[in-house]
Amino acid sequence: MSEVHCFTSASFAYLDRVRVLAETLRRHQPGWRLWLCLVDQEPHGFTFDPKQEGLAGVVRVSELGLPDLRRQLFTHDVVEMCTAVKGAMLERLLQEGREKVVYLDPDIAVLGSLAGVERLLDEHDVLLTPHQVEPDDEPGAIRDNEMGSLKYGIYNLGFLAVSGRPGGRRFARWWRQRLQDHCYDDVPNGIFTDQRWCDLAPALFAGVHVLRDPGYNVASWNLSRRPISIGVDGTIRAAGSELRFFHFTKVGWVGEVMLERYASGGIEVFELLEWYRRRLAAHRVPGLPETWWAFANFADGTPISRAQRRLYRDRPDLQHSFPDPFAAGTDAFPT
Amino acid sequence: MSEPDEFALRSIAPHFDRFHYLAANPDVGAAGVDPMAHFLHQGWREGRDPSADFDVRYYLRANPDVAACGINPFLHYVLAGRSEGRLPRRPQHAERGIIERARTPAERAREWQNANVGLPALDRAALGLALDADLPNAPCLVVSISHDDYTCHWGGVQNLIREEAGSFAAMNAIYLHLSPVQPLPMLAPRGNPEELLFRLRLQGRQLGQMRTADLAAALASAARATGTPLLLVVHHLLGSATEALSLLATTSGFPPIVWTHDYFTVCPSVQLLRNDVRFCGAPPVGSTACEVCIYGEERAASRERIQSFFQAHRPFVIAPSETAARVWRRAGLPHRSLDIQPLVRLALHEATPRNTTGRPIRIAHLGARYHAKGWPVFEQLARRFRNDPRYAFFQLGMATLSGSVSDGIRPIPVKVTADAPDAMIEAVARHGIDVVVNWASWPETFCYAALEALAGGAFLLTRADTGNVAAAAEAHPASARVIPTEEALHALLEGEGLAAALAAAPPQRGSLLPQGGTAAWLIRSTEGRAVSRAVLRQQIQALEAA
Repeated sequence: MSEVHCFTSASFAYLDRVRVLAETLRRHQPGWRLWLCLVDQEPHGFTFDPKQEGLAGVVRVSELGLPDLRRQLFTHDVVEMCTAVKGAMLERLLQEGREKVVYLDPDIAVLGSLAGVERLLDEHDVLLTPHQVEPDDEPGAIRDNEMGSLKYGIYNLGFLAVSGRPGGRRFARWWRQRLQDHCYDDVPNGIFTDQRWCDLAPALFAGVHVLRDPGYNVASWNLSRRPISIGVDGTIRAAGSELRFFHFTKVGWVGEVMLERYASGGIEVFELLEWYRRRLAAHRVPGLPETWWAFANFADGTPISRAQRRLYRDRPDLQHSFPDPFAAGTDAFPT
Repeated sequence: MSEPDEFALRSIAPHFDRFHYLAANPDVGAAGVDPMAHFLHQGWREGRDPSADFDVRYYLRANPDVAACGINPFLHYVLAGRSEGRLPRRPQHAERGIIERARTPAERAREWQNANVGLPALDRAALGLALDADLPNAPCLVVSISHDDYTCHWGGVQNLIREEAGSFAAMNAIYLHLSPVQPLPMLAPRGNPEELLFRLRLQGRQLGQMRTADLAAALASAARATGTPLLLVVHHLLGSATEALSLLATTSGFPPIVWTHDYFTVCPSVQLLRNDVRFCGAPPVGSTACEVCIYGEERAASRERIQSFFQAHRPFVIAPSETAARVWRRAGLPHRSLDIQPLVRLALHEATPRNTTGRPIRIAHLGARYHAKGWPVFEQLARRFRNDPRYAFFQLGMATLSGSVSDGIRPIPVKVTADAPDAMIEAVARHGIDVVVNWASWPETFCYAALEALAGGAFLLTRADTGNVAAAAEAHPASARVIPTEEALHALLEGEGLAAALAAAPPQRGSLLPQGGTAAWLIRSTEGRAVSRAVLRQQIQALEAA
């Protein structure tokens, strides 16, 4: 069986999550190798030693060959930027000859074997996990979940698996191109970062397989139909299927309220949430300023607003006039 | 008072719990202000709850739109939130709180103060001297080990040790009890077992503290000198190191006798409650269930040590109930035999019928307000039926640990001690408790409270999977009922089922008869009798040699 290369994408603020992902992936899929695409730069006085992270390697955003990187870092916020690089990173790994590449969001924890993904990639070019695989019937759940999918995308791109065969490479090239130009949180215009694009994938590419096993990619948006149980055999299950990985989208109050809304009286999901919080605490990143992102501010430290990013993105004239949008001063892009 | 104020007061008045507000906020009562007006004007802004059923902080956090408006969240809930399906408090609050507060054994151990209370240090000679006086005339020396000094604490295990010591005393045997000087919620570190300190109590008299190496040497020397057989009885491993116990076990010519009073030899979560909240059934060590449990890491670390101890000594194992034996077997630890020896036996006799006419049915929780003892289910039951004139709710036992206010539950302090072992039984009878709800969250290995309820003349309500509690209920079907779910429990109180069950129950009282612990096992069980015979043979040989 060919080696599986897994990657995730994050800024330093999510390094604790990356560590939990790495730890749980090692435990349940020790043969897989995890790469980090790092969309950040170290703050002053902070040292990051990739060798200490137990990763296959770290690829910095500057190494991906993204065109006009400086402009891209300005026109995307941190979530958009961490998403926008996924296509380029995927294509890079495939071009290096990797036969099976899996993307996992940094806020995912692996809790079961992923051998099934490895096997499915022998037969299919691309694997996608839908947000939901069973209809809801409560009005609130329909609004939160199914209508959420209509807005943000049918498939959750916290997970993606692609084979190195030509069909997989064709998909990767297309996805990389779309994300390069259109990876924004712009729901009114039909785009939500990388996700809405993949709504098209089953139509555009023949080798796309929709992974419907409820044990994959369990999160608040499908918990209503995937109650968590923990058996005497020590296996954690979602809707009766072995839980493969849980997507801890938000671990603060907002995320917890969404989980409790759909926990259906089960306590196990709160056990998972608390366990995940404890693992995050164990992998805390000391010395990192809170909410750090190297590209969050203008050169003088003024935070860049979403409106400023969008204005610059939509106005080629501004891009022409202010080739370095991060610069501060009299001739700089107005802060 | 302004018009909006009057409207707000009128709106919340039917739902505002003055008793709860005053009990939870003694400063409001002390200030002499009206509790509802206080809540309306400032209390909610300070996060004070208008009743036990509404959580101000939760409502504001879960509903940021309400928080943004700056309006009274309780008023919003009463007028709109309730009909919009918004929740008044976070679901499963009690159990989620337990999960959030749960800590690993290592974390808890760090918080346990060093319990070295300046006991005198004993050397080999001192123990030898203490033993020399009685040992030559004794049929055997029993060295028993548990997690604490049984004379200073009260509980099922301590009670049994006290009774067992009495039974051995009646047989002229010498009883030396050991407990770790530093109590721990886990095994003592592997470290240097020779240095582990035990507190010694000989024939009930405190001697001091001693290093394991000295203890083992003194015991071996005394046994050699007098030819007196030595029996090692392990009641609990908490705070001990298995390696230290191995050193002690080598001083005996017999395999150790190990009790499974709880499931510690299976997992450091002695009740097998995953994250302190759900019975896990002892899944395989290293399973994903253990991975997400706060006990998982310590379980994996201690498993090999416990396995080695059982492998090396193949002990006789005694379980206090069928449940304890059944669950313990899953651990797959090597052992010589597994016998069941109840801690006490319930003897019931006919009693004067209880007159419940014209008064509410008195329903009680016996014991502390622990989740493992089923307190949240009882509290929920009381909350739902507290205004139902057919029922009154009580808690008999230690005062609340959390200091929380439990509306509608009357606490009755009861302290069971060596001098008053029947205090709970007498309290159940004296206060006319008609029904005891025992909704234990784990299969209890041995439950005094369930037997005390029946002995006190109460009707016992429990669920399946409560182990020894359900077993007690099944053994007394006329005085108890096993109910499938919490919903069914509520339905029983909702209808007239409980009154009917009480009317049909025979009036009974009873008492708990001590069973003698290990001393009884040596007489009653096949394996125990074999050990007794061997002890006797060894003693005869010693006498002949002398």
